Amino acid sequence: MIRLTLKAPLPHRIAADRLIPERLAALSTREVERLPLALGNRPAQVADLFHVEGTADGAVEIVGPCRRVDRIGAGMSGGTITVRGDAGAYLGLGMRGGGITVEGSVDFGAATALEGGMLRISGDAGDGLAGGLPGAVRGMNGGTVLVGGSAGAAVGQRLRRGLIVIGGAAGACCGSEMIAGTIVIGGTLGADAGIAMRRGSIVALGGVDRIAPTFVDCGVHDLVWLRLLRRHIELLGEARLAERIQSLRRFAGDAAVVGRGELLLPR
Amino acid sequence: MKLEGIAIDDTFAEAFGMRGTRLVITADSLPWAEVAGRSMTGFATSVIGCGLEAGIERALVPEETPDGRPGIAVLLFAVSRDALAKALRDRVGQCVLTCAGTACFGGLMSADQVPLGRTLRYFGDGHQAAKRIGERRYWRIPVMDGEFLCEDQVGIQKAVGGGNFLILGRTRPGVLAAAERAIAAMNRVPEAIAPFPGGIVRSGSKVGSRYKFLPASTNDAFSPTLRGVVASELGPEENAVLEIVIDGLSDKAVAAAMQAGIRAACAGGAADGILRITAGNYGGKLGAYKFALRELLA
Repeated sequence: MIRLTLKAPLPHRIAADRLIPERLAALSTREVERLPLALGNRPAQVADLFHVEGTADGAVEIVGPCRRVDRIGAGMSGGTITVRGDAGAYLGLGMRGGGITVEGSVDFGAATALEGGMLRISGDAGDGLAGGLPGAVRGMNGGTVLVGGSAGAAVGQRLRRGLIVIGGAAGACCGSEMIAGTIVIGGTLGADAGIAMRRGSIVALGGVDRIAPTFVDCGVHDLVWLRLLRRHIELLGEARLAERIQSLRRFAGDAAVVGRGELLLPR
Repeated sequence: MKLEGIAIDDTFAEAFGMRGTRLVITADSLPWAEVAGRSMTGFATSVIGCGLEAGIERALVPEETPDGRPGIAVLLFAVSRDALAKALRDRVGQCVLTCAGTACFGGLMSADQVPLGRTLRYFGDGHQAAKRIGERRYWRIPVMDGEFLCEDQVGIQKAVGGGNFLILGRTRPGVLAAAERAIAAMNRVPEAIAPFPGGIVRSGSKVGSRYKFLPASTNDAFSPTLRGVVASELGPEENAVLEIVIDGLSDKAVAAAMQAGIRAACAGGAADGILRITAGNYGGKLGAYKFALRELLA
């Protein structure tokens, strides 16, 4: 494992695209230390900012207050990254495989354009979790995102495929323009959830602030697929959340568009 | 060779390559899963007349099923990939989709997959929805008691069909009792089923007939009422014969089932009126698999 320990809090933001397991795998410790980074608008090297130790084996550990370290794990396709602390914006941007674990909270746009792999965040996530890049037709297109705390606005915007599980609350416009996939929210869901969603499922176990009038009540149902979802979430280590997935009230929508999505709420 | 005083012929069962799969059917209760299973494995005794051979492998407890409900495992066999895919579509569509509270899952991990839910989904008339959970994809088809959940594709694999043995005895009740013991023992063997009614077949067949339209006809050499009329294989005291046909996901499964079945059939000894165990073959020229009885029991 390669451990990168932040020497001091960063005065400006850096992009950590290069510090992914497959890129570091072929490098010696010295070569890792000499990798270029941009600190704000000034050139720097990894060794200027981090203590580097260990050898590459597919695992990377980043230690320190990394709220200004953006794009951790961007584009990675294998291996693991563990962040011992908070992380910056665009964590796991375009990630295709492997796993990222954050033992803190993350900034805007985590899991943006995610294609695969597992992203596990112990704390909170900022706005734009698992959405798409500006102008993109679709957002997250595969993989799994687990957030232990709460998430900001616009979770899973234009979600195309994959599973997002949030233990706490989620902000407004969750699952807006959703194409498919599944979002599970343990806490309260903000207003306008699923607005303009075409297909897919939003399971809001803590209820929702306001349901858009373009969603229609289909009654309470014990759906077999929810049993599969419950078991799957149990296997992901979220048993307490999973056991709350029981019979739910189904609202179909958004009738303003295709209308084949659903909001599933407590009875 | 004798087993419990019963003669074991120095012959072999000849079996054929097939394509097989396992489906897991769940329901609100085990009896309803069994209703679906019995329905879809009905009229599935022989590929010659039914296009499919199928049977219930075993009951599953909730911990063994994908949705945590009671269920059953069903094994299905056909002569080709296409024939199996068509039979699955028809039988799941008519017998499982229609059965109260059921869901249908693939029970075989295999890279070779055939469509199931993706062909049945159209019943939803546009209201069907795909759902991916983990690595598996399902179709949710709205029906009058909620939703029918069916896996998008199911795995199939090469399999073996036509393993067999024949139980010959003095009386029909005695032979039937031995065959029932055999089936009870074989039901405990995984990955194998006996597709005929109750697992037992009385109308063993030979290839061809005197009629152009009939590809298989009665096994006259083993029909006791024709002893003396045809070249009979039966001894003077052998007045009843029942056959057990076995399909399995592998030759090992077929061999294990045959072994268990023959031992159980012979467990009553010669006093039960069982005289001989033999097997059906075509001289070894047609089938890819040969199961020598004496080797199985050695």
